[in-house]
Amino acid sequence: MRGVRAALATMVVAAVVMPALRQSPRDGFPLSTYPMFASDRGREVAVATAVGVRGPDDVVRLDPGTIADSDEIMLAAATVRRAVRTGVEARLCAEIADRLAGDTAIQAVEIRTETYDAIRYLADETAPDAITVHTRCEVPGS
Amino acid sequence: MIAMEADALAERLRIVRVLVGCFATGYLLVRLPHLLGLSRFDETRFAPVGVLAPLDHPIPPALFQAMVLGAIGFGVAFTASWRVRGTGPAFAVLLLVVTTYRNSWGQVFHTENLLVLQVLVLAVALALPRPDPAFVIRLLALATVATYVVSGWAKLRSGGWEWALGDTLRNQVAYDNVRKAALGAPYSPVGAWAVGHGWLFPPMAVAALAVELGAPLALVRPRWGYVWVAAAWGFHVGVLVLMAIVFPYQLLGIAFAPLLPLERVPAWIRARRSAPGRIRPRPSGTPSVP
Repeated sequence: MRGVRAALATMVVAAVVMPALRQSPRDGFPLSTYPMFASDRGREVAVATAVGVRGPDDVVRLDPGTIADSDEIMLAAATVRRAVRTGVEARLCAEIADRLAGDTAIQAVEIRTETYDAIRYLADETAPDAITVHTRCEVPGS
Repeated sequence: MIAMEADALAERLRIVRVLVGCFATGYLLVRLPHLLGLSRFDETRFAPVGVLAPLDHPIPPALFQAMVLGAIGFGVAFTASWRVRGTGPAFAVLLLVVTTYRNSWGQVFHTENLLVLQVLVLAVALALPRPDPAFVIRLLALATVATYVVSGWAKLRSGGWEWALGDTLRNQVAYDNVRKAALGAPYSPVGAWAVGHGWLFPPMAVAALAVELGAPLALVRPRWGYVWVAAAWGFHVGVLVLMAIVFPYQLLGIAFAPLLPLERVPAWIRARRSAPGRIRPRPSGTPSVP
């Protein structure tokens, strides 16, 4: 019985620790490398997001439910980032526009990457330093 | 003395199982709309991890929904101590698959890892013939401590001891809040204020590393364990305040339950109830004493 216990304890520790000891750690679940606060992102950060366009220079932030059909902020962020990275941003744009169908105030959706000096932005509430629009699509019925 | 300690640990294990089972089952119930909603997601978003990594396509909706409901059913049975040797492993496997599936859409959340690990450990250990409560409690504590050490190690591996200078943490807090703002979500006003005061972050970074890398000390002596639990809980409060990120399992203290003398709680409650001078509600119709 003592041997079984020792084996179990070793297995638990090894399972939790092993992902972090790999040459090129890769995050997983539930065994994780817990990379979330580890690497330095610097002050200049790029955020992939989706916005609603009401008119020239008039955009409105869309909530995670509209962007990713989920109340999870991180999932919304990951969804846009992944869409941009894998080249399916037009498809995501159309999905979001469909969710906004009938909203007469929002004419179009833009999938963008916004660049910020994160610390300055939080202090001054300024606009992004740079905006790259990946795609734009019209909202049906707007 | 030894028999008394064994009884106390058996009681602690019973309380831990009920707490973990209640939380896990309640969590599935609270997140039920989100979990059932995963079936609506576009297949291009599917990025399987963990035990689901070999999958090429999402799980058929009806099958996944059956697994979610099955996990809830087995979770109730496990919590109620009904045939734990069978229902425990079934609950653990279904919880693992359901939460892994939830984490398989491009984002690993890190808020459920320890919950799933502890349920797996509990289920396997309680399924053994004649499980030793002291060993199961120790194993749960070991899993908890190991996750924090890995988290601390990740910081050192990525940034070296420079991580303790606080710049990485400050930039991370700023990034996280800006990302929330850009995605139309509420962000932490405290975090937004704090990043403007760089001197706050070196002590916070040192404290975070101390909590994570110092976690094994919690296993050395019970009192050290209590101190560590308080520090780790404070760490998660800090994450909540600075980044509006909720680790519910940790914030409710259930993640740390194996390290706490919960077996004393029922006796403490009984003593409080029977304490002399305690004001008891008067039966109706009893005249009050002037």
